Amino acid sequence: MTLAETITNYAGSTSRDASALDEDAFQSIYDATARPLWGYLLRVSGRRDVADDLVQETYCRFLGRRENVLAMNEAETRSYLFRIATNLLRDRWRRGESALDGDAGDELVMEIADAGDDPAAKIDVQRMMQTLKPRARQLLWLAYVEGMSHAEIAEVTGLSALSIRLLLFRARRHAAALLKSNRMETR
Amino acid sequence: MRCRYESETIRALQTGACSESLREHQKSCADCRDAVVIAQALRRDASDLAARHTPPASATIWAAAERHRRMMALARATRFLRAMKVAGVVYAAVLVAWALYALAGHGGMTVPGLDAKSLNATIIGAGLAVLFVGSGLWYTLRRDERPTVR
Repeated sequence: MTLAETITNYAGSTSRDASALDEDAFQSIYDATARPLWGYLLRVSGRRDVADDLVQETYCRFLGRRENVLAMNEAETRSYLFRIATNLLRDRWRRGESALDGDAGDELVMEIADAGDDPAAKIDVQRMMQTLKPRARQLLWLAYVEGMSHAEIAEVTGLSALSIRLLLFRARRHAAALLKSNRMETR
Repeated sequence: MRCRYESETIRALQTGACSESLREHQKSCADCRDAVVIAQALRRDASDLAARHTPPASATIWAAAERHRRMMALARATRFLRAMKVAGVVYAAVLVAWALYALAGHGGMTVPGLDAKSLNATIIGAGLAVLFVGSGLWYTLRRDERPTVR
């Protein structure tokens, strides 16, 4: 056996020993959280490819710290996953990859074509999300779709709970104005 | 600035349990009405996305995470070897410098406390050290031979 093989076996054996969270348990967590997480990443980043990449990366990081995961309840696990995803999104923006670039417009058209009932409402929501700043999109989604409290949003985004209160208020006011003006344009 | 019933309104929207007093409040509060309109629109969008999107299989993610963990463990395990490589290079440089200095002393200059007999013993010791350290480095740092395809 070469040294490289010895090291590879060592690496494999340590990962097996440390795998406190088994595959079945992971599957149930994944089934419960993957779709909401993907929706959040898609609407905040505005890009399907980014959402796909980051979902995978989020769960890889989550599994990398699986020893911590066992002590968490369902709400904590969900909050932890959203925090990882939010940090990964922030890292992308820091690296200069802006949201809503590239084929976002084409994707919107395709999504609307797929939409069943009330495509106009869909256009309104997506236009609103595209116009809002990423931070506002994050806060609105976490508060209104995921139903997180200000404390939970603060934990996910790394902002203070007081800032969340103010930023969410501004985001909601801006979103309401956009939604109203979009509706007038569409109809 | 911000209605204190907004959180309650959103919670009621999620659970579907909206009290009569809250409904009355929403009629007179523009903030809460806006919150309801936005929350309903976003939640419709979210449920539509969830219905149309199929995430990759959890087994795929699990396998990718396992690969990532192995690579990290491998990187940790080879860190020692990289340190050994640097130490070997430093050792060789020090040995060469010392040998040059000692041999120059043997030719004309004298090294304090180093006579001909102890110089011989030192050179033999250094030679053995080079042999052992060199063979160890060769074993740890050699490239694995690629399997030949027949």
